[in-house]
Order: sequence, then structure tokens, then C-alpha cells
Amino acid sequence: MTAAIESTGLGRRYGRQWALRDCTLRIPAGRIAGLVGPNGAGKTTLLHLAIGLLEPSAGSIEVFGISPRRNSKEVLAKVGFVAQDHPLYRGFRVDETLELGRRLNTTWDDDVARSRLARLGIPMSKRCGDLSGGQRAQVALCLALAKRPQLLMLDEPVSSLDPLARREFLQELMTAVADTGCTVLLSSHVLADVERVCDHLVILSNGSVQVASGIEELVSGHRLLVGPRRTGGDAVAGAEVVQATHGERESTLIVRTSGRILDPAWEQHEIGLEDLVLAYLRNTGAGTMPEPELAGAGEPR
Amino acid sequence: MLWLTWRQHRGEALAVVAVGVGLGAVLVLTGLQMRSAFDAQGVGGCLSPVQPANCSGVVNGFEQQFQLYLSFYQWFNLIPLVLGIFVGAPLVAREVERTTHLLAWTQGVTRTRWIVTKLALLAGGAAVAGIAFTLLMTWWRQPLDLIAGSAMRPDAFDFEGLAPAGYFVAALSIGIAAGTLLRRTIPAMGVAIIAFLALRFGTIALLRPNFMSALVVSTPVDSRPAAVGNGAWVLDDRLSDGAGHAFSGRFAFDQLCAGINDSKGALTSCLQHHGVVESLTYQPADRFWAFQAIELGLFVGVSVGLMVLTVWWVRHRIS
Amino acid sequence: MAAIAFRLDGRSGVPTYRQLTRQVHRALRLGVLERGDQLPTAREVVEALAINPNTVLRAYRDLEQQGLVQSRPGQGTFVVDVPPGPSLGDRQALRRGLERWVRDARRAGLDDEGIDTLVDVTLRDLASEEEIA
Repeated sequence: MTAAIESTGLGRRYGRQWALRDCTLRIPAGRIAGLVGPNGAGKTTLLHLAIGLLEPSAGSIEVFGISPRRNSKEVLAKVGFVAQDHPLYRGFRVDETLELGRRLNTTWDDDVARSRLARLGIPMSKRCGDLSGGQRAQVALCLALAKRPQLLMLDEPVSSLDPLARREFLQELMTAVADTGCTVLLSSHVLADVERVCDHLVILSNGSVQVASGIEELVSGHRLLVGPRRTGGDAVAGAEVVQATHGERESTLIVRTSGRILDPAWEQHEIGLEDLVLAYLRNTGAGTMPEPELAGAGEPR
Repeated sequence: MLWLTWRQHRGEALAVVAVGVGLGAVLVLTGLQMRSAFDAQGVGGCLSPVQPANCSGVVNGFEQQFQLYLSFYQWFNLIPLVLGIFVGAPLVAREVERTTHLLAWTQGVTRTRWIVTKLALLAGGAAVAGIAFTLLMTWWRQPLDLIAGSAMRPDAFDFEGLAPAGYFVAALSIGIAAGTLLRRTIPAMGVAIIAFLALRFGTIALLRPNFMSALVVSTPVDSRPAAVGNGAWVLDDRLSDGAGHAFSGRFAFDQLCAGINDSKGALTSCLQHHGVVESLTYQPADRFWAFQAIELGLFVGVSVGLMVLTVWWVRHRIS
Repeated sequence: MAAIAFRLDGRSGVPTYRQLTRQVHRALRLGVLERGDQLPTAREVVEALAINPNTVLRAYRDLEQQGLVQSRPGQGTFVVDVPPGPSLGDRQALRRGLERWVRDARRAGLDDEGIDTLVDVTLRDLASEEEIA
């Protein structure tokens, strides 16, 4: 299975500060991958590296096996990008914005773009500066989709939108994915949205990859354990502890395990994605799941 | 890219055309006025070596009459700056400020092509505007050039020939490069103003006088030799005593001819009597086209250098 | 128009695909869905719920593996079987038994929450016994 994005030891430095460091990950084609992490974790940097807006300071990144810096034309033809806050030329009318897309891209599906915007009730003759935030986001998405990309990358696409616009945006996005089968990588603060739409997850914190895995494998590979507090550490046979919280008599652990915990003292629960992500974000030292094999092992679509 | 460049800059292009038409109208009207006065007063005849009668004060009178125009048109030196400030500085900086560069550079066109296309088209536009401006100004200045004998002196040189097109392109390139390096429109405008004025006036003051080595001629006071010719650009005019010691004009009066300042003839005779020599350093009028070519080369060279820097910077330093 | 419309509980913590299969199971058990009915197409579900298309396909694949539905290329996904369960009579008998048990539990001082916990623990214990066995 080809990877949509594959990076090895990827790093990017601004002056002395590393925005992204030693990032090795693989996002298989056909996935909808969520990129989560606190502000400044390097999400935008990773996306910009993937589309060739930035040059790596270390390591390499490939999109469908092509370097986005050396062969920017080939990569740009395959990748749609929606930058943060959906920038558009404010003085351009909507139809002029489509004209821009038509003229600047080698592939362009004008009918789809127009019918999509018509269905959303966005008037062609309106200036982009006069559109609502949700409408601007839709136009930006439409622009990225009309070039029929194999990979669509979106930087915080819904964070600035109200709940209704957010839902409508995700509806459009998911419908387009259902129609075209393109791979998606989107960064988001909103874990609920990630849980809803993504089947692959990359957690970044402090510029490094903490988790890169299919969501199902991730969730099924973790357990919430509740049991009596023990002295002498939190070690659990056959598992690695991600997070431990202790009451006076009872301990709650979030562990990563490949099988079942056999120790009967632990009461075992499934854990939701949101709790899991928060546990990783809170415990940046907690081991990583970098093996690309694991990440790619999910069932193909 | 052609379409995008036109769509993004058509407003500016129309503004330039509108301003150009307005300016052209003013220049045509005032130019015609000057020409008819020039003919009516017989100024042309009074310029020939064999002057007809009644020429006393005619040339001065003409210059007096159009004093306002003569003092005003020098401000046109700043016209290229308008292009640098309002077209050049925002070109990249405004995109970065509004993050629209992330939109433009993630379509199917590489950013190298994006910036090269824009630079080529806008520089071409600036050159055309510069040439139109030059033609208009050359026509307008024709009577004045006849009086001056050439367009070698800066007040004419900077509006005629080849160089002004170079000023337009250079002003634009300076604005674009400043906006690209600073990524902010307003500071880039400020830097562009300073840089362009420094380049222009630095060239006039320091470089142009030395494009070719200046000629020097020494003669007795106030008998300007024919060798200097009409219309030369005089760079230096100094007096020296018979032994070759230079001194300023005032010093010469005070030391040698104190009290003799009532009539010009008397003073000249006094100075000549003391063997005072006048030395002129000048660039002759027939070097006009050579100087224009050199100056154009200089400004085009600066422009090309800045454009290369801009392209490199866009490719490697902005995201 | 499809026979049922899916809904999603974002707060439940239950994976989306399992929420979808559960809703189909429930509709089948309640008789809302019958043999021959068509499920919404993946695209319709995606459009309505703004979820990952893979999730819908995953849920439908699970249902297909359980032998409940069948996807016919170009037409859609159709109900072909109703899950085996206790007969109506059995179910009523079981329910009467449960009612008796709940009354006993209340008399013994267990509130609803206590009952929930007890049921959970019992289900889990039985599950792990079965797994070990």
C-alpha cells in the first residue's frame, strides 16, 4: 500500500528553535488522518513541509513518493491545501476565485465546483471579503477540491467556525471524500471532530510525534485499569503505562497493551479516544508509537 | 498566471493610466503654451550666435515667465516612487500579511513561476510607463533644451533619453524587494522611499560626474572658452591665482580687488589684472547618449539584482 | 428515502461504526427494518452525519459478515436476515424474570445505580470466564 505522506527524521528549525524534530511517520493512502497537538506543537510546520511551502532543516518528507521541494509542480498537482483561516483574495468575486483555480491548476473540475457552491447557496457574484466565515471556508474547500487532489490537507479548517458552519464544512468534506476517495490530513483542536471524521491519528507535542496510528488500533491497544493502589511503582505486566493517577487507596492507569491484562486485581475498561489523546498530551514523556508498520497495519478501505 | 497578475493589478494599472492621462493633459497644455510664447517672443532667434536686434532680456524674460513650471516639474522626479510604493512594496508583503500567499502558492503553479511572471509583467509595465513619461517630458522640455543647449544637466538629463525608464523599473524593484524581505507593507514603503532617493541622488552626486573622466579647461576669468561648448554640465568652477593656488570667488575679491564690486566689468578687469584664472571641470554635451546608456545600465543592473534577490527570497525564505 | 436514519451520540464513547451497527440491530429487533429494506447509502450517511465514509463501510461490512445485510453493487445495501433472538414468548418470560429480580434487588436495598454496576460487573466477569474457558 503506498503512503500518501512518509517522513523520515524530518525536522524544521527557525533560528535555533526546532518547530518540528525527528518526525518519522507514515500516513497510508485512503486514510482520513487527524493531526492534533497543542498550539506550537508543529502542526502547521508539518503541513507546510508536506506541501513544500517549507524546506526541511533535517530529514526528508515525501508525498506519494515525491519530494515536495524538489518536484513542487508534481506534488502541487496532486495535493489540495486549505490554509489556516481559509485565506482568499478579498477583492475577488467568488467566480473570479474559481477562475483563479481554473487558470492556476492543471486539473480543474469547474462543474463540480460551481454546483457545489450553488448547492450551498453561495452567490457567484459576491466578493469573497463580503462572505461569512463559514462561506469563505466552503469556497476555500471548494477551490482545493476542484483540482481533484489525491491528498487534501487542511490546517485547522473548522477552528474559526461556529458550530453550524463547522458541521456543514465537515459534511462537505466527508461527502467529497466519499465521492473521490482522496486521502485527508487535517489538523484540529477539536477532538470531537477528529473522533467523528478521522480514522488515523497523529499526535504532535513539542515538535515531535507522540502517536501515529490508526484510531481503531490505537483505541483497542489501550485500557483503562482501576485497582487498589500498590506500593513499588506502577508497572503492570504485559503493558506500558501512559498515565497513572492515584487516590489514597485506588489507582487509575491508562496503559498500552497488545493483549489482555491477566492480573485479576485490575478492573479493565475500554477508553475513549478523547481521554486517550488527553492522556498523551498531558504526559509528553509517555512512550511513542512510531512504528510505521503498526500505523499501516489497519484494514485497507 | 497572466490572468491572475492582470486581475490583481488591473486597478493599479488603470490608476497609472488615469494619472498618466491627467499628467499628459497638463503637460500638453503647458507645453503648447511654452512653445507659442517661445515662438512669439523670438527666443529661438536670440539663441543663435548671430543674434538679431532686440534680444536683450528676451531669454531671461521667457524663463521668468515660466518660472513656476520650471520650479515645479522637478517634483516629477518622484513619480517612479509612486510605483515603487503602491505597486512594488505590497506585491509580496500584502500577500504575506493576509496569508493569501498560502493560497497562491498551493495551486498548481510553482511559486518561482508566480514571482517571475509577476516581476516580468510589472517591470514591463513600469518600463512602458517610463518610456511614455520620457517622450512626453522630452517634447515638453524642447524649448528649455534649446535655451540650455543640451539635456546634459541633471534638470534635463533625468527626464529624457533612456534613463527614466530605468528609474521606473528600479523604483518598482526596490519596492518589491523591500516588501519581500520585510514582509510588511508599511515599513517596506518607508524603506523603498529612502532607498530610491538615496540611489537617485547618490548617482547624481557621486557616480554620474565620474561615468567618464571630466574635462578641465583653464582660462582667464570670465572668458568662458568655446571649448566648453553650449550645454555642458559644469561640475566645478573655481578661481586660482597666477601661481595656481585655488581660492573661492569671495576670497579673491576680498584679497585682490577689495572695494571693486560696483560693476561687473571693473571687477573682471581687476581679477584679470591680477592674473586670476578660472578653471572649469565639465562633462561636455555630446556625452549625453553615452551617459544615458551608462545610467540606464546602472539602474537596470540594480533592478535585475534586486529581482534575483526577490526570487531567491520567495523560494527559500518565505512560507 | 431510506427506511431508517442514523444518529450519533458524540458523548457515548462508543466507536461510531459500532453505534451504527447497534442502531441496525435495534431496528431489526423492533421490526422497524424488515427483510428486503434498503439501508441508506454510505454517501447519504456521510452527508447526514459528517462522518468518515470508511466508518460507514466498516459498519456495513460487519453487518454483512453477521449475515444480516447484503450489498448489491450498483444498488445498495439490503436487509437479508433478521438476527436470531429469543422468541416473543421466551422474551416475555425473561422479562418477567428480570422484573422479579429487580424487585428483589430493591428490597435488598440496591438503588438503580447499584443495579447498573452489578449488571456491568456480572457481564464482564462472565465474559472473561468465557474467554479463559
